[in-house]
Amino acid sequence: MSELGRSGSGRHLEVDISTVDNASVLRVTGAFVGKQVALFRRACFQAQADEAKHRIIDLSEVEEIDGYGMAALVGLLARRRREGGEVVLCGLNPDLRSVLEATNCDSIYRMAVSTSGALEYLKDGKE
Amino acid sequence: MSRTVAVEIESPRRHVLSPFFNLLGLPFFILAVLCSFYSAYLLLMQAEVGSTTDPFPFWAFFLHNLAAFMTGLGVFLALGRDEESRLGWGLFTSVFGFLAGPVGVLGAILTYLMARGQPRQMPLTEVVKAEMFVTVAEEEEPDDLQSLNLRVSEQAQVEPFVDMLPLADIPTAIAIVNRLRERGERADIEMIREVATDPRPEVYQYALSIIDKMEKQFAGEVYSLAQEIKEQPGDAQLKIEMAKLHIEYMQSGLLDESLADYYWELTLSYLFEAMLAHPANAELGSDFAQLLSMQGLVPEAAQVAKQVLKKEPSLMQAQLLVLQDLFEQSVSEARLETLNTARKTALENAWAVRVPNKRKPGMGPTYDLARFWFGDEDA
Repeated sequence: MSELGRSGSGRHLEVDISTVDNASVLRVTGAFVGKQVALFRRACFQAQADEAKHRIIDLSEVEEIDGYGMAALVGLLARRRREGGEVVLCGLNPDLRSVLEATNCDSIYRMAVSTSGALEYLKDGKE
Repeated sequence: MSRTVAVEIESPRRHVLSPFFNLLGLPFFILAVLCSFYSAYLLLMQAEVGSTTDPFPFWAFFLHNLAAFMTGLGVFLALGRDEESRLGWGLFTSVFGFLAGPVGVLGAILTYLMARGQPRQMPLTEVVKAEMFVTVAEEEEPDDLQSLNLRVSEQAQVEPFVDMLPLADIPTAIAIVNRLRERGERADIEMIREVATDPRPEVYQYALSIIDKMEKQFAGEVYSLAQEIKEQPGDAQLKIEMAKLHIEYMQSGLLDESLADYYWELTLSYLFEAMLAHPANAELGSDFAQLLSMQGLVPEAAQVAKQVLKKEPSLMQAQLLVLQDLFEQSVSEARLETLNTARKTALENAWAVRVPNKRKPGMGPTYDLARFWFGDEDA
């Protein structure tokens, strides 16, 4: 497991990367907002080295998300779909879910309660 | 719809002024050379026979200054009133002449002559009048000519202009670039990009300068909006404007392909910021669907569009995206009956309303598809 982390101006973001089966799991912790989102993009780039087809984004430890965070998630979805992969979001709290609904993103993502649920979906539905 | 194109090349001034050397500057250059050399001669003679008690050589100094001035004035006049940088070139050559004496004057004149091949802002008005007229008949289009085929043939009428560019002379090529810029649609900007690959430096540099100007205009608008957002971070309307501006830029044809992904994500972030600040604005959801479609995510775009249509059923862009998805599904399954079913389904929906007669910016091929399906009777 590798970890990318950065803190600054009171806000903090970390992304852990691990690989399970054919999926890279990116566990995001902290404030998924503003310029910090660049860290998530870097993590996505690093995850490419694992050559896993799918991505599972664990957002259970995310405190808040804004437009930049959402754009990074949709950007990841676009890249994965282009390469025939899938992106599954898991661990969404009610606040995150409401952001997804407000931005109409809830209809384009597969969502699971936990990482294991996401892996199960990928096994059943995608492979 | 008809398009008429005419190119007229005519200018009585062309016979008076050579395109290679503007004769207006010639008398000043000759005078500058004479003054400069005579001034140098006077100074050299004085140094040969004079002593430290000799008076200051006012006459030679005056001639030296006059030569420098005449050089600058000659360059200024020779470049013509349409050359925006002529004052700068005039001052530069003048200072050159002043600092280096006769050698400087000759060098300045040579600089002017050697720089004649560089592109200028509006060379046409001075040496050549070349104009291309493209007239589009307004709204009086027979219904049966509204089909997809007509759209294709209309584009085919424009394409040959880019093909004929290598045959056109430089002023005509520049006139075409100007006309394309005036029209300013995506296809026109893409053509200017093609012109930027022309082998002639005057043409490709001019095309690049036009693209550069348009990009700077966009950057200026983004900067001023960003400043406003910084001052009033709670203003949702400003965020909407920022998102719209980026969408417009992405659809303008100005965007370099290598930066497309970056700008796509940047546009999305502004759009989401606007959506979060203004959740009731259904049009932003439609823009989101359009952005997804631009990345080839048509099924996802249709999903979003369907959600948006539940809130605001009259949004044309969202309707067309749903239609596009239905069509692509039919094609990918390669079953004609599915296509008919899809068409019927689309027509039975409340959002199957009249498609506008003219394609709006950003609608792209979905517009043609809608015309193909609905026609005027079914719409």
